[in-house]
Amino acid sequence: MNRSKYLPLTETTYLILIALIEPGHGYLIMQKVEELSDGNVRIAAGTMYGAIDNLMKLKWIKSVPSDDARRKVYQITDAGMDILKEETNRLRSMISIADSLHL
Amino acid sequence: MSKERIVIHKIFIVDIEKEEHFIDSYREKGYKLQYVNNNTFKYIFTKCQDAFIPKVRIDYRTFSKKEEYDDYLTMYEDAGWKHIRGSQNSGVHYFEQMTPNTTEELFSDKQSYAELYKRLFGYSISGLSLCVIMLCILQTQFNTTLFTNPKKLFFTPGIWDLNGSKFAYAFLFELSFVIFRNIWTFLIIIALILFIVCAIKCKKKQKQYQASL
Repeated sequence: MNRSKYLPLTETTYLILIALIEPGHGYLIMQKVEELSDGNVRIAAGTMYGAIDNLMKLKWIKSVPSDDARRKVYQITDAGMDILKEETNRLRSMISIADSLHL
Repeated sequence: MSKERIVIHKIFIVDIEKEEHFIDSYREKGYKLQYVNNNTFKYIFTKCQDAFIPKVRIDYRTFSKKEEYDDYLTMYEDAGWKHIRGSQNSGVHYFEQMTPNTTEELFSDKQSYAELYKRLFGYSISGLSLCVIMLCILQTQFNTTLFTNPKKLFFTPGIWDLNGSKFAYAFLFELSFVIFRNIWTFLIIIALILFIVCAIKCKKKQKQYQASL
């Protein structure tokens, strides 16, 4: 199988997709990503807003209905899930190379 | 003793980072940006004794729907950025930090800056197109002969038969009347030139950031 032209994903994109396995609004994603990365990846507001825009255009995430009128809530799509799995497999094979060399 | 209040008029042509550095330079001297109007190019800074003087950062975005604009403002506010100037269609938005904990910048990667200048490039191109359309309308509706026969704009008989310093003097003198009679055309041409400069600057900045990715 040919590898998707979108791989490898940036650390930020990867973590945003992971965060959106469960629905969440923009700021919640920022908090989750910071938490998931032990505070190493801190996405600024403008970058987060742009990333949501880009991921929506790629149809990797979608807007889902919510009670919050002032905050849009997003969730990963099937296409987004496929990319996430593909990237995870790519990372796994990298790790297995490192493991086999006892790094 | 330093001043309590400083009023400055300064024009920044689409150079967002330069404008931010300008505001930062006053912050470092203990001044808080009290008021900004990007249409009149006016900045008012006031002396601030607080330990924390918020940083001001600038974004450029337009919104087709009110919900989108609300969502945008709410997200920035959630993340600690208070909106201090801008509206749904203004394009330019000024934000200030709400706490020292807020990130230093509005953007945390270079791609975001490349996209910011791409949006500004789109704005320059639409402004530029509008100017071209208006010039075409003026040309046909009011029969401005600026492009087809600019000599006809000068009503003075015999001006083109003069030469040397006599011509230069007469030309400059009459030129002021020509400009006055065609003020709209000339204003649009000035705007057009500004938009072209903006577009070139934005494209250059966008490429710079893309190259560093």
